[in-house]
Amino acid sequence: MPEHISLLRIPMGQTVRLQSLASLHPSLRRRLTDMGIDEGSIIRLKKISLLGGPIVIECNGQLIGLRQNQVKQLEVVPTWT
Amino acid sequence: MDMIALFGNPNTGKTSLFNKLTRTYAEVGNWSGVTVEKKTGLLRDKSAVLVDLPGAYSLLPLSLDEGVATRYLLEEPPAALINIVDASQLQRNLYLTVQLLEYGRPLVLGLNMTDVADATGLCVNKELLAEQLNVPIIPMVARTGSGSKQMLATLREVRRTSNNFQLDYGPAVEAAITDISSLLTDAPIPQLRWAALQCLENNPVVMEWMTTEVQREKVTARIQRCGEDLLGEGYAATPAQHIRSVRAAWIADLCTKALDTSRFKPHSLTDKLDAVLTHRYLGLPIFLLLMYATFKFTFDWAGTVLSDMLDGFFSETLSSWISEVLVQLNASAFTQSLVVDGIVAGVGGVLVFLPQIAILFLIISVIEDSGYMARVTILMDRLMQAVGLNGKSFIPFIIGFGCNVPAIMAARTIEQPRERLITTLLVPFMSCSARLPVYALFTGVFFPTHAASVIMLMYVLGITVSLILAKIFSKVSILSGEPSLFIVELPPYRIPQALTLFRSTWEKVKGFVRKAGTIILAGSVGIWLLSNFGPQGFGAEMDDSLLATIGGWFAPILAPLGFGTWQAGASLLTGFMAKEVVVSTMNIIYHVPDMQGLEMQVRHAFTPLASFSFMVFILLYVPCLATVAVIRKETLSWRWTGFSVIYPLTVAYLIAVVIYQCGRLLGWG
Repeated sequence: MPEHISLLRIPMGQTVRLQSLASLHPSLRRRLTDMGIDEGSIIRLKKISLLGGPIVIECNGQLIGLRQNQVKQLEVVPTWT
Repeated sequence: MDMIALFGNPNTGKTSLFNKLTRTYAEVGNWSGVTVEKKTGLLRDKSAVLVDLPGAYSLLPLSLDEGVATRYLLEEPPAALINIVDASQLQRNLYLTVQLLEYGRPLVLGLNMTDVADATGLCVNKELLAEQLNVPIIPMVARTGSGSKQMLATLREVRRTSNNFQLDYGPAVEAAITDISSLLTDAPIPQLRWAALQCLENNPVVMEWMTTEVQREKVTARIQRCGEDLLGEGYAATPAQHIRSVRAAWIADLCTKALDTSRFKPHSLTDKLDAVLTHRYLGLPIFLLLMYATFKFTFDWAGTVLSDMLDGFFSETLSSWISEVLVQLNASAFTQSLVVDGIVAGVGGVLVFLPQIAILFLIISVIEDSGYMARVTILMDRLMQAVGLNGKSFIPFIIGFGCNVPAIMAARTIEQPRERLITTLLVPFMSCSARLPVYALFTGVFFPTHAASVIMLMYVLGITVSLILAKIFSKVSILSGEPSLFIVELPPYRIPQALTLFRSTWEKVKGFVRKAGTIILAGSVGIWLLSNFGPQGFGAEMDDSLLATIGGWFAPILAPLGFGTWQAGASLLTGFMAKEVVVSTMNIIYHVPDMQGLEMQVRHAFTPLASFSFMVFILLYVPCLATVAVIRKETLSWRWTGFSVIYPLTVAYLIAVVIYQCGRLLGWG
């Protein structure tokens, strides 16, 4: 079983599998699941803005912007291990 | 007549399809790129009315605009539904489809953006999908109109059939559905099963819609029991989570069968553009540069030239032509003066700015239509977060540059009530196109070589003031509390379509022209009457007129700001109706035949510093009447409405005093 790491710790452009969304704010979690992003989804970190601004992730060909402080506890598992 | 409702996820092309399927375009609050209210239009074959609803990912609403769709299904059950689905995002889009199928009315699936799906190598097996969902599927490209004829034909056929789609949610949930359905029997909706499922999903709109408190309590109790039953069955999920996972599993299974992703490759144009436009360092400077180019283009290059041409037409050609006709008709001196000095001067003086306003609206439409608007929220979020708002508040701000009224409605897409309220209160500081004529007039007189820069400074000042106030508001206890959230979908970049741009710009320009024909016309006539009416009756000298008296009351209060004249007082007062009326008023009270004449008069009445202070005051002082009305409608509170009128007056006064007095100390007076 590979270790979970925070989404913000993975290298840009790498794909990872979402392990748990439990730590997210409930509204945010619902919006993500509405967009088809849930535990087990494969996502890719596309962009990190300056000064702790939003990040952009890609999932199933859609691009989604989220705040860093909202997703820092998001646990992911690298797909390359 | 039958109603057909149009549903779909955001950015799937609902509005494009709506435009293609209907000939008439109803005008219910759909100014911005975001549909915020449902809007209706007659189908091209005149067989039914089509209702366009705000985009939603699911019938379970998160923000105010999403509740509109669910409420509509409950309150005005439509005869049939169109569900437009983005073929390149099939799995996600089908979630809403399942909820709509459960509603029980005939449904046609519009499989849109088949061109995008083809280009990215996605292949959808339409026959299999149609068979599994048991609905007709129409492949289409809504932007070009391909498939819309077939959609109309299918709608005629399908309307009388029924739809009995059902998923099996397992014994615990199925038993709860039966019980809840029997509690809801008084409802006029096609499928009680659907309503019961929505209850089990905790849909607040459906819970609210139930007629009695007793009913609500019974339903709530049954939902709770369903949760316990689920636990008994060995599921560690709430009914809502369980329902979601059953649907998600069914959709995933369907997609593995009906969707071939083996040749998928991502949208490369979006990647390339994003590499530049949302670049870590360059993104923000590029955005500011684009804004500056917008102003440069609107005011220095294209707009001014066209405005001058139009001014020539109004003040010379049209004016003298109307005078001649009136003389021919033997009209009285009163009528002649009313028409030429009142109406033509007042209304014409505003209409000359039409080209600038049209260009500005066109550029805003391009930003909305290209997919860049969502990127701007990413670029601005860090800054907005620092003042307690979120990047999405920036969309109402940009739309506010066109007109504050739709901008306040666009604030509905913000999920958090607190952020929505603060955004609503701050939008009036966004310099709308109605304020443009004032800037154009004053910069033309006092800062002709720096017009675009001075005007841009006004926009920046409006934003700066609102950011500072946002920071203050978020510290105030009644407005603080819930944490700020930010999540935004970035649609792929698209080349804006000429027809869509033309149509949305035209809608907005039409709104402006209509305002010129109503409020501004009425205002001009009123001002002309007041300016000719004095103590000894009609035909008074302008300086003894009623208007001069009323304006004079305000002059001493305005003196510290640099423009303590009755003319300034009168035009600010009438500007409350609509900001364009400020210029109409000046045209009438300075009694000048054309733009050059007005500029001469203004040069005498103001100093450059006073004109700057005046522009700042116009920018900030009070929202126009239409904006106040929409603030009342959106906040549902007279207190906040009153507040939204009074505090900008204070802010405007303070800032204008500081600007004028400091300017004088620096010797610029």
